[in-house]
Amino acid sequence: MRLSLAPFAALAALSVVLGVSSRADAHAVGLSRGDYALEGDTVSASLTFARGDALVLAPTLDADGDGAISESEVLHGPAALREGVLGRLSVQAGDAPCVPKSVDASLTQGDGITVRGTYQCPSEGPQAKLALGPLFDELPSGHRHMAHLVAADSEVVLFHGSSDVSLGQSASKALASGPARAGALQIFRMGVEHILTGYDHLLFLFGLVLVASRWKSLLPVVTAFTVAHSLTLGVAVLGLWTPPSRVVEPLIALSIAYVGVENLLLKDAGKRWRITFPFGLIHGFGFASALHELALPSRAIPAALLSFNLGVEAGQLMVLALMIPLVAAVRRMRWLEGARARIPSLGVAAVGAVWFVARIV
Amino acid sequence: MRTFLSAFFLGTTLSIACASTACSSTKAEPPAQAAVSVPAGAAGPAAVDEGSRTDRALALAAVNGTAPIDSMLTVLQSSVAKNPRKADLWIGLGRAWVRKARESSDPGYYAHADACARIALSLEPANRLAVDLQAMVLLNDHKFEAARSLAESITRARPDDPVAYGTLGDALLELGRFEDAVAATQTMVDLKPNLPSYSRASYLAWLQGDTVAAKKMVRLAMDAGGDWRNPEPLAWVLVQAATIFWNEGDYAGADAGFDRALASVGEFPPALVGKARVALATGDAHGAVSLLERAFKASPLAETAWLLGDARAAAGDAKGSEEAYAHVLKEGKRTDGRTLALFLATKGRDADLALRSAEAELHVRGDIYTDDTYAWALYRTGRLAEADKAITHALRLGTKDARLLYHAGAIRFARGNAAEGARLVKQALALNPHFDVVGASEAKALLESVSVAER
Amino acid sequence: MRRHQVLSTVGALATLFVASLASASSHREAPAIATDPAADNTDVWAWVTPGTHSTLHVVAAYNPLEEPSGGPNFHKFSDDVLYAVHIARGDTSLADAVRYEIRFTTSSINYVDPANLTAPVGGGKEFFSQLSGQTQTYTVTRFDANNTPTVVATGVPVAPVNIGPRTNKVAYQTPGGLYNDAYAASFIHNAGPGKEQLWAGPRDDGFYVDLGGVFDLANLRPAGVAQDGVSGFNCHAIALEIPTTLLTESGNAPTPGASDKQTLGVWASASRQKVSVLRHDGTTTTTGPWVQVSRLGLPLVNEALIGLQDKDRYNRSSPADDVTNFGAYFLNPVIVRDADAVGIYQALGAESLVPSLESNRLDIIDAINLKASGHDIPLSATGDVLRVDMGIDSQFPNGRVIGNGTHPNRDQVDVTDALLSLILSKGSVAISDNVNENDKNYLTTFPYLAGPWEGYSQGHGAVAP
Repeated sequence: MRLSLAPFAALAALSVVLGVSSRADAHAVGLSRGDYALEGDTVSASLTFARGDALVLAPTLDADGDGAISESEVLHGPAALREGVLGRLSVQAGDAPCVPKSVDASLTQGDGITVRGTYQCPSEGPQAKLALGPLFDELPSGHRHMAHLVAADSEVVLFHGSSDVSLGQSASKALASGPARAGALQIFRMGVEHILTGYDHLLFLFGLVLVASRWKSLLPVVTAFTVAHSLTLGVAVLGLWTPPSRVVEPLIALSIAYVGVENLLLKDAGKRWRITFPFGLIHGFGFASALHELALPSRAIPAALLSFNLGVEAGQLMVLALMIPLVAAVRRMRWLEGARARIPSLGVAAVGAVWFVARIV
Repeated sequence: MRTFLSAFFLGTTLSIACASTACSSTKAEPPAQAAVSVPAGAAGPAAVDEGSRTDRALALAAVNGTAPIDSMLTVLQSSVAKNPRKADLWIGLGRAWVRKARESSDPGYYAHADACARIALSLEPANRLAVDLQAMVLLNDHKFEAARSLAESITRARPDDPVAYGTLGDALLELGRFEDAVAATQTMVDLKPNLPSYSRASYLAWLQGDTVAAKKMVRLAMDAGGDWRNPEPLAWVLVQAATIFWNEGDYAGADAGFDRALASVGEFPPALVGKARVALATGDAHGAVSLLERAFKASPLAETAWLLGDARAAAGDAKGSEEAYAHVLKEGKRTDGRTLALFLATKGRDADLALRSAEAELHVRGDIYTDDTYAWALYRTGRLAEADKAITHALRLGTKDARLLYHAGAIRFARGNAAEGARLVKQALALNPHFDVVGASEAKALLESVSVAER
Repeated sequence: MRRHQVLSTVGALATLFVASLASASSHREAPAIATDPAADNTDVWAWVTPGTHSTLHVVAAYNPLEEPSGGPNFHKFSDDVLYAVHIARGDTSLADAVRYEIRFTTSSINYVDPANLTAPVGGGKEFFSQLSGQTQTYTVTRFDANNTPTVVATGVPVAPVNIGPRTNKVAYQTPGGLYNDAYAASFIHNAGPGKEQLWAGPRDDGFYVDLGGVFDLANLRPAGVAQDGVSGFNCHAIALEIPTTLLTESGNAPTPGASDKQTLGVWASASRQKVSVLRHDGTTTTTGPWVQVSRLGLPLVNEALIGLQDKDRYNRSSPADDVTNFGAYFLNPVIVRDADAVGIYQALGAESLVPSLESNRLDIIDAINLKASGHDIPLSATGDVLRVDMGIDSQFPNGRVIGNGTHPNRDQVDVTDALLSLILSKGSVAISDNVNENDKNYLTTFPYLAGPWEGYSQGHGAVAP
């Protein structure tokens, strides 16, 4: 009576890889990045620092003095960052200084913080000059800043002693807040990773698999889910309609709870596609936010959509390939017979309910 | 059974959740990058593209300057651009960046070297020389455990790589594993007696109090230097040799050595700092100030700022002195907790911060100077028994360092052992009477109080 | 908390490395990789006197790219290095049939020998003043096949560095205040009739090659543009003239005619001593056995054939183990693939040749084993050694002669061209780096390499620090 641990091990291994890869975002004290674009008379800059470096530049950001930056400190941060970061980056068009206009910030994965700002120049010119000297004076010596110049699509390494760079007009290219050149493969992988890290979607799938663990019965159910979430993903990403996430997220949780409950009452798993289709629509809106953050130009969206969706499907298949045999094996072992058979579904329902509450609160 | 399933369930959820929220324990250093089969560049799908662009930008960053290293970098960069798939060329470029970092005293260039190593690894995942480079970079960045682990993985795979043994020995020394450091360094010398290995052997000999052997070995190191296209290693070992003489109070000899180092590499910060110490010890405060200002400009270290503050105070510039000390606090808090702790403890300022900083350092390193800093911080907060224990540990190798001896003497004295305390303090002052402005005067005062008490 | 994290730009940060913690420790890390010029073999020449074959001439050069104006520590031989010329013989083994070991000693007024354990190693000022060195002499010891030593000569003065006119007048007191060939020749030492002649000192670096072109992945430049990257640099050379009667098995003169039995394998090396790191009680010596840190037989092998990852191993190993250790590099020369990657074969229209050139290059082994001149040396005696057949006149790859070429004494066989053609095309295409002669005339007499460039007037100026 040996249960194959391979699927578990595989899942664990997968998460180790992902976990390690996120842990590999070494705390990059000493290296920062900036994306700079000049459009018309506005310079937009998006600088990403390690949080430690940001605190050196804007010490008042750390309101509670704990040495870390929290979400709320970031929300209240712009003033400090305007002074500490934008104030140390001077921008000139022609010979006239460009004035910092807007500033906002957000925390990023892996111990980073991104500061976005715009500078208003008095007039439009062919280029703008950026001088980052004061930034390097303040940061620990040896700091390197990777300046990505959007117009030229080039990277320049700046440091103390070589801290100025010129920026040309980039009329047609918008400054992406995300990687501007995410290729199809990268987006596919994003899709895969998205599903693998989206534990609510996975729980939903698990709930489905619990009662329909043969491919034949599962197929229409999953296909309906897939078609549906592809539709709404497309709708959202193309900007046609995006319901707010404070509505979508609780609904997703509800769908999980529903599946858990329905499992206990279900007679015919094959007809389940009728409910997975609408739920798929909801889940699709949930996926959209990830693609949104790439801020791709509209002409790139259909291709990105395709890649992302393929990634999500591939991820889904991977997960199902692990889940289905596992559940079937457990069923064969007859550990879950009779009353005990309800336990997993109860679990799913319970978790769904808890998340629902957590997400509306 | 229900326990199994819930465990599976929980386990899956947890492991997935963990992955998605990038949970990382902040205590441990990140796993040595090369230990994972995923090349260090692949942190995420969209990131791969960014990462390699960043690496290339760093590796091929423009160099300005007219020193031989600068033209060498340019030549290597153009070679690499012609055959970007040849890992050896990236390694050569990476090594050149390391040389640039050392010669210019700008540690930021290590990032460029690391980028080259990553590119080489993306071409040849098992390229040992690239991993050698990465371990070197980790070491310079004070990630001692990670450097040790990476270097050790190299030596396991290839027990004849002298560079890896060098990095391993350095890391082990910083971690406080002296005997292991000796073994690694011995292997390094046995494989390749040259400036790097002789220099390390000399330092280990000096740490054990064997100044005669240390001098012989550093002479061998000096003899094995002298490449006009790569003058920094010779300058470095000349400073090492001069420091041996400084530590035994031979100020003229030390000065001669620091001058030689400056002749090899002009404005070499460690040589300027060494000369400044000598100037301070021989009463030339103004000379010390100007030397230290030059050194700080080239390499703004906390320790240099500390000495600058001392020199300015000695030259009568109280305001300038406090400005320099403010730098010590700033740099120390950001990048050099140990110097901060020692500074505060030496000056008798903010004993709590000193102790906290010293304790934090103990988490990542365990060499005798960290023990000493901890001991002195404990002393200033009145925890004498622990201080005694720490300073005993610091002196366990028999190092002939006046500061360590003075600290031991003061601690033992404060614990009531006046005879032992006085003996150690006398030894310290006999060794190097001007080892530190504050320390030396405290030491003298302590001896005076003893002789007063005796009368 | 938003479930969907931003996997954005900062993916880039994710891959970025942490640099910049200013080296915070008072003990900054010691250098990790450094060159060792005084112990760095640059070239070996070896040939027998044309016609008579009475003498084997050997010149072993060290200290590459020696800048003439280099001060304050002028280049010299190192007292801490064991220099050696190894001579194997025959086709059964590469063990030393004869070996010459050369040790240098610098004397100065207040010199304290570090090996003298009872004397303190001087005060600091003296310690550092000894660096400039005063007069240097050397001892040559000959070892036979049983490792029995015989001192050939001792206390022989080394020709000093060519600094400038004032030094010539005041310090060296050279005739006429000149540092010329006659002055240099005054340092030739004759060990006796039927014995060796010796010379050691600075010379013009006798190699000539478009360093930039060749090492830039065979980015060879045309004549007129190609530059001799070694031009104007000096080296330090040890020159030996050994009667061939001392090198044959029988002790008689070599019989004329090609023969494996009379074929020597010449290579040079440099070694430094181990030290003992663990503290000793003051009575045992710190310094230990010699470790080889450099060697050279054929020109350009280490540069062009051995991979970067194995250079250390190459330098510390012996030619006898070359087939085992490095056979793959000889048989599959990397520079063919490099040249292909850079487009050289494409430019020559010879891409179809590449597969036959990348691997299985037994022809390289044959060339270095002098197969073309009738020799048949097995793999068990194959290694990076310069083969010299004492029975016939020398012409690279049978020996490597200094001078006697067409450009008046400025070339011999252009080994760079010969090797490039061999490796890159099996000799079918004449490949040249277009640097075809040395920057100075060689001498027609011992020690053959041209006199050194003068530091005062002939340094590289802007190039030298």
